[in-house]
Amino acid sequence: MQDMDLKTSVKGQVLAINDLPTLPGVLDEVTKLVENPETSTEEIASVIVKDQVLSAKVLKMVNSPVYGFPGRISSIQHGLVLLGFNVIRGIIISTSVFDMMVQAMKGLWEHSLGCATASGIIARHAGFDDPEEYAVAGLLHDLGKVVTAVQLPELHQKILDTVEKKNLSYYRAEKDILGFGHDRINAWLGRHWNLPGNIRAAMSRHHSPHMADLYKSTCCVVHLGDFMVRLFEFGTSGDDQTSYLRPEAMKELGFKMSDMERCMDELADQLLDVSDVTF
Amino acid sequence: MQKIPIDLARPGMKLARPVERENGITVMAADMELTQPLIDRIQSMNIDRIIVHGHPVDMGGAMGGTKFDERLKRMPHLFRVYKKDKWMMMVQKRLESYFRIKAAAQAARAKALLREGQSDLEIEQAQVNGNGGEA
Repeated sequence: MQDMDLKTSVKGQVLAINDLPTLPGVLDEVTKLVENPETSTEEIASVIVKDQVLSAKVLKMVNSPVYGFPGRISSIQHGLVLLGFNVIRGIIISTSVFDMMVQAMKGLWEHSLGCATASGIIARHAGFDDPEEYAVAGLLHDLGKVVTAVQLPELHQKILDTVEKKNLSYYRAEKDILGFGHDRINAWLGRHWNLPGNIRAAMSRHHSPHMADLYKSTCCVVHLGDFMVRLFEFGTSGDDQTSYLRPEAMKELGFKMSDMERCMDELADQLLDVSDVTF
Repeated sequence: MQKIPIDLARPGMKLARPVERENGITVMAADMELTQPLIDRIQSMNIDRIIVHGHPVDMGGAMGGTKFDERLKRMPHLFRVYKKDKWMMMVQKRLESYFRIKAAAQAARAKALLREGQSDLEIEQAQVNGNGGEA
């Protein structure tokens, strides 16, 4: 019973709105603009450009090898046209939480970048449209872990200790200690920030893509991306083991092991290029 | 392939990727062999990292690029909790054979690179000796 109480109180703490990472005001403004179908990309770009530091960071990210555009994207408007608003929004979010992520968990930023790169490669290989959307979903898939580390540092340490002592995955340890995993926190964050459905689905279902009702393909891509980047141990997700590879995810993507190996060839090459992408 | 800080670049290393300035303009092509003047020029352009063939510098961590033999060795550890799961064991086996092949290819390339370097050295020495002979 006492245990139950701990879990409920923890939940409240995690979900305390005012302590959550704040997103730049620009984002709210832009989101409103997007809701109006009459808005042009010029108008949206002009709002983002007002924040010069943010614009520079966004341009740096869209030009990084994670998105794999051969040419140079030199303006926000150009980026919006090429990548779409969802991707730019995801990048703005990742810039806002970057400092926090780097401080909260060593290696998590690299893990996220790696997963983004892998997800882009997999989506391209599977022949999906707009692979950049999958990459952004990969970039944001572990944000919930940052929230635990920032809001509940003591419990976060306990999770890390449990991972080591009991030979558990981070995800299982979270469930043991908190009563729920980062996928739940992700789902909540996604709603709170009003993220697009595909990115929300991937954030909350990357550990259980077979149970996704919506955007199953995005969930499966990020699930496989997470698995692949762990094989290379590029960065760390707080784990000392691979994640469980769901055979259903491979089936959904129409992937055989040989397809995965082609993606791994590409990933091994590209990890070198993304290894020093920061904001 | 390895990404190295420009301070650690030495003449004789070969570029695995083109060197680009921040504005995206390529200044040196892949497969070019570095010389001291080239290294100085890269430095003066404020480019701080380049990607070269082989693993000439021991840096550890992500910058070192993927070492496939290391990946192969890590597989049993990473899959240790799935020993009773038939499917995951199958996946592990398949990945091990993948990394084994990649590791062999990587070792062969490293060897070839070394041979190339040695033969360059021999030619240089022969030139020095040869000049002595002509005189």
